[in-house]
Amino acid sequence: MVIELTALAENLIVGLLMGSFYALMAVGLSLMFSVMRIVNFAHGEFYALGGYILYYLTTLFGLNNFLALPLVMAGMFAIGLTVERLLLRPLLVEALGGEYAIITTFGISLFIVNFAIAFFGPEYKTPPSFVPIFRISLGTLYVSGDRVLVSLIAAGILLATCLIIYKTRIGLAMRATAQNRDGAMLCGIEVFKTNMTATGLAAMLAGAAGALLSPIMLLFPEAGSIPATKSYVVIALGGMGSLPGAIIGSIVLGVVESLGTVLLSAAYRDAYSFLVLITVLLLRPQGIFGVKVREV
Amino acid sequence: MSSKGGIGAKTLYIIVGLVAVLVIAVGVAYYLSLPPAGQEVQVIKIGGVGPLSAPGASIQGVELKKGIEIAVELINQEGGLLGKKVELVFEDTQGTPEKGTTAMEKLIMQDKVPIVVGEYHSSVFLAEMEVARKYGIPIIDASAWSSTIRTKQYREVFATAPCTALNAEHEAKFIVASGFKNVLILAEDTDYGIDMARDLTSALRRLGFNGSVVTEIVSRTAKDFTPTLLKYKNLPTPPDIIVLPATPPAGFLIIKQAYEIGLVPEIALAYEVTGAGDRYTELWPAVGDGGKYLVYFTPYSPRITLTSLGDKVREIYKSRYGAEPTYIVFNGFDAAWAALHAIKKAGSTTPSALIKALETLDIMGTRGVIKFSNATSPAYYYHQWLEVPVLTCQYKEVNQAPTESDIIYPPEFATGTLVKP
Amino acid sequence: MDIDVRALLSRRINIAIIAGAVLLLLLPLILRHEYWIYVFTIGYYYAILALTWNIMAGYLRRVSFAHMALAAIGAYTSTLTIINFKIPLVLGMFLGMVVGALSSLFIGYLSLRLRGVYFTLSTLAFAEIFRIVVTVEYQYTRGSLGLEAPKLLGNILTYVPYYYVALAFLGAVTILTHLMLNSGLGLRVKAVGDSEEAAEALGINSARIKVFTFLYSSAIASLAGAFYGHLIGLVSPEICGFEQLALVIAMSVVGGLGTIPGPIIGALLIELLAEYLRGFGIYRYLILAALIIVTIRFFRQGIFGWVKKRVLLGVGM
Repeated sequence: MVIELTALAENLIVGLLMGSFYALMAVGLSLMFSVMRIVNFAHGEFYALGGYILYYLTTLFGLNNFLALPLVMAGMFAIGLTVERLLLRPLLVEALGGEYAIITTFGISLFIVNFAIAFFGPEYKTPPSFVPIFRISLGTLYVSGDRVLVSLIAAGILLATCLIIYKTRIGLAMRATAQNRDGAMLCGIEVFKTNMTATGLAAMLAGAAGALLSPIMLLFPEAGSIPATKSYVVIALGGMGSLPGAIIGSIVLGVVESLGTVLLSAAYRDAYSFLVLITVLLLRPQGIFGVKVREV
Repeated sequence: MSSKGGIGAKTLYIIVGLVAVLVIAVGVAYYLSLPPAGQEVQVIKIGGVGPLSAPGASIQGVELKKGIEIAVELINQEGGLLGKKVELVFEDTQGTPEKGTTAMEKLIMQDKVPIVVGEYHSSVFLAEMEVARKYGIPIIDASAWSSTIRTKQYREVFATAPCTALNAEHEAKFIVASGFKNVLILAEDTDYGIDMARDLTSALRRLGFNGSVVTEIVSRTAKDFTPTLLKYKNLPTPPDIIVLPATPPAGFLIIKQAYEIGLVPEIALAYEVTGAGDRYTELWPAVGDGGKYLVYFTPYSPRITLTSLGDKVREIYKSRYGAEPTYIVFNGFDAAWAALHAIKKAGSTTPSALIKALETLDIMGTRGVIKFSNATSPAYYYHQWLEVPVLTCQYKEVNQAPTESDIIYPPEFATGTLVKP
Repeated sequence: MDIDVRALLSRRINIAIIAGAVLLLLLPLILRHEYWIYVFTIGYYYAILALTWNIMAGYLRRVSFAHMALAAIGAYTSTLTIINFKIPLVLGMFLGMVVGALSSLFIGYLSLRLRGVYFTLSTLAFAEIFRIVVTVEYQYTRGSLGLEAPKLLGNILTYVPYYYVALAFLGAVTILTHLMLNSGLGLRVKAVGDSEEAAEALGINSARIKVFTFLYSSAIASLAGAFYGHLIGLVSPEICGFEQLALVIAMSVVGGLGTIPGPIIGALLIELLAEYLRGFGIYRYLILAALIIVTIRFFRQGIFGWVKKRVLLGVGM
């Protein structure tokens, strides 16, 4: 099948835009994994929770979206801290196997989804959009303007996160813990405080993704499951725990999906990412940017 | 470790500890299995089934239940049936076939209901009708659309709900009558979406439609349909109507994203065939300006003339729940109404007498006279209420409510005509 | 002393298990009610799945999210081959088991050589792909509407025979698993679960042990899935839904990870409770989720582990 240049360009742009949101999800996930060696299976529910907080802040209290967004992020940061302190830390203190962390985060995910069903309702909600729907036309090429704007905000948040990680003391502590936990502890880094910050940041980023995307993609209790599964694929693709890997992996996945839908079949859209995952595991299990780590 | 003297006692502990749980469970089960004393003379029970919780479609299940409840209430106000009060026993089927089977077993074996009405999920109804058939108990499909339910032609199974094949006939007639030439069907990847696409295609061919009909299956869980939509927008002859057998959020997202890339409504009109009418409070925030000129299929519109019974149900519903009833409320009501009048007509609660009564039933429902066809060709006509009205409407302004939007097809119900930008 | 305690413990447990088994055998006589017999039969299906999931999570310490997908593979393979090739039902179920086992071999080979979490992610991916394929390949699988499956025992009108088939199946799986876990092989499984490095140092081929354990657990899950399809007469993607997986995980965790009777007790308890609390509807999974989190946080050994430690050994928590 021949596709025209404009169609190709349009799809590339759509893929890039989606990629920026996947990145927001994946960076938090990757951060948590690198610092704590825990894959958070409740990441999608943090996304949905961020969306719901935005929805209620804007509809119940009449807050402007741009005012509500920092509040959502602060709230999600606090939720992340709480989850780490109450549920994850005891597992790490007792040095329990990874299976307990997986089951716990799975339980949290189940809890948040069903909490939302019971108390927010199972129906679809649409928070007010950040900017009214508008189109940008570049010749014959149409781009949805609100999406471009929202993904710019996403990129800004990502940039700020990278600055925190690479330029601050707590960022240094996180990177040190990620590299060598015991060594970091010997150097006087408070590992549990670092863990707490990492979980807080991860929840905050996922919540921000939810707040930014749910006006575009609608909000419902299971809304986070697809973005989350995509971000699991992304961190495996980019190399578990690698931040540049997470960002580049997200963009690659966004583009692959967008083009795959046009060139192959739309029905299998969500399957492409999983096929990518299986291929990565088969050919380069440590991911694009990962280093081979021995099982601990 | 304590002394060996404690062994006997502790052995006892374990047995108690492990078995007590089961004994209690069995005790509870046994207690529940005993028929409550004296019930058989006091009330007539009818069974209700539907999804009230996840993974089922609980919003629709709750509406359905409300409709059935109103029917039971009305009958009791008239003095009940056969001199007894009617009681509804409604079981949550959770949208899973297994729970549907369990619910039917419970209703039939434990509550001893002579007839069951309800259900929204076709897959669950398919499991439930097997149990109904096993015991010879009639079951009325209130809101499951699959044609397969009808084509199996079980004597015990009746349907007041419209079915996909009937709906497709209606949609095809509308498309042909309105002069569309290039039809694109974006169907979700479920039995509903794919059946609808197939039935619509064949209905169009039967009507002699000579334009192009293209079907593309899309993922129900996807969020971004822009690539698919771009593909069709850039065709040399883009579609002029996009039929959407896709449940929300996919259906709503497609409309919105088609608007964003300039496909809808300038190039093609969107024809939503799933829930834009009854779920308009979710639709408008989701689609925004993209919903202007949206054409939608619905089994009910507040603009339609109801029977006097229908008006009564509508008033009861509005005063009680403060909202316009959706078609599912009427679906539930009509199914229960048919069941209750079958009992009245048969003068007994013997299942076989009820089936006979249903086959010859002729009773005023909310939207016309409820009669079940006994025709076996086409296969989906069997035990189906054929005259159940289905409509095509159009939103001509943003944020329009179904109470304001025009019925544009069929002509006998129409309050306005199709408008294009 | 230590050995004495263990022998003592196992004797007491044996007595309890025999008492429980006798009770379950006599249940249809006490409980002459089709509905509750059906509920118990379904309970046994979940018990088999919880038991086999627990072999992975509790002994090998790898969490599989593909367990329900493997059960669904068994169900679909069996039903599809029976419908399309007119083979005998039992052969269909056997094929279901074989295909499920082969799939697990594929996932296992792909991901079990890596860190534990890669395995979990791969099982998640596999389960998702399977669910998408089933819904999209509608002409074969009839999508979410479900595929009608022939009944295991033909058109009999009572569930009592199914009850005994399910009970026998559960009994066989329990005994087989008990024997497996207490053999040399089982010791190796536990060793790899405890520490892969240590196991390797002892000369255990840990990769092979992991793949074997997953194969064992998956083959039984697939067979159970095939049985389930022929029990309810309908095979649909709901078999591998998120909620079903949550149910099985909750049953294992609440009953007791790393024990054999635990998941069985958990499964029967939760299944009966769910039936009894039907009216609770939307709060059901919320309660389950809270149970999972609280059990992992405070009662890590689950019901059975707690009973064993507290009542059998007289050790305080």
